[in-house]
Amino acid sequence: MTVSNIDCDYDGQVTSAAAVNDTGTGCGWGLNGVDIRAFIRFPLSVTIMAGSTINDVDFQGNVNFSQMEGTETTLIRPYNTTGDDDPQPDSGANKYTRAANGSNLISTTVFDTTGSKTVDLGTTADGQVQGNISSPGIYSLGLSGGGLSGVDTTQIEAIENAGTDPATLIVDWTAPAAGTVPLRTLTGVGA
Amino acid sequence: MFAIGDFSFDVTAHEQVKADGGIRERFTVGLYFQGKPLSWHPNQKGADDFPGSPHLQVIEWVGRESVAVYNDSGKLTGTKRGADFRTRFWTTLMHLAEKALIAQQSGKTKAEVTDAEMQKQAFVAPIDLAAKSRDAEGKVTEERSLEEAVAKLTKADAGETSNDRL
Repeated sequence: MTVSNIDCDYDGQVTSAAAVNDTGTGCGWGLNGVDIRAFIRFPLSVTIMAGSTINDVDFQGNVNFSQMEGTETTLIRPYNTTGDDDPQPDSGANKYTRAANGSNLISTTVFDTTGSKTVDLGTTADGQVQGNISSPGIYSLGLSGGGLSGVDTTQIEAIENAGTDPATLIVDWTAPAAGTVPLRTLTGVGA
Repeated sequence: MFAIGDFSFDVTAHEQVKADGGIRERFTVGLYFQGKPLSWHPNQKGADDFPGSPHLQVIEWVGRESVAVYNDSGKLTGTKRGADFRTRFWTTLMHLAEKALIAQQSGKTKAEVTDAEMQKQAFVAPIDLAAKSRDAEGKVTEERSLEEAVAKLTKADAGETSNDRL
């Protein structure tokens, strides 16, 4: 069993007016005059061997700004209900819709305060990641706020930030029985 | 051996692999709780990285070798490397270790441990992030700063391996 902390390779935020920012230093969600949602993509196929069993999936992000109070929640969903879709080519309107459709993987208040936060995405995410290893080879998430009023936003460090703690998918996996875990070459990461 | 509260970690190997635009930083980490080996995957049988030693685990960070960096105005300002584990190393290890402990204590697998259970398991003791070397009796013989320990971890260049026992 190997635990791979996989850096996201595409992230950003979109408003209810379909305005997209995918080169910002922060990746935020919440309410600030408009509703804001975040989208994040993780590459799987370059890291995890085809046929592997996924034992557990967690999400980690470094909150560098938050205006949320203790009762306001972060809702994490698989992007476009299954996590199969790549947010990058989507229009702003589609990004906004797909970042918050489908069922929650988790509803949490841990992103209300600054610092590195890690949450378990649950068994639904475990199954979705396992199904996505080879095709489409990615797993995407959408983040939005729940129970918000007034100005309630929170933000994690984006992959474009000069810092060292972008969003990470922590995947615990077991290689297929017939194979060993080699030091695989990486192809097309973040291409 | 690094001690954080009742947990200890033995980082025994570091490998860095660069290929095709990607970078991978792999560590072999031993997990101990109150001085005794703790399985990273309690109540779960499977193809362990180290058969017979479930307290050992390969933990890696994976990313792009070069990532474009922007400022707040959206202007490209340079690049950085991915898979930079340094600010995440200990928080990630502690998260994984806490989950393993909860699984062990509750008779569950890691996958069955819920986020609500993780949030309840908060630290009550001060976190000692100093890197301590201990002799066979557990007596501290050397103390290094975390920064010095991480610098030693990252001294291996591409293609080199570092098997120094920290």
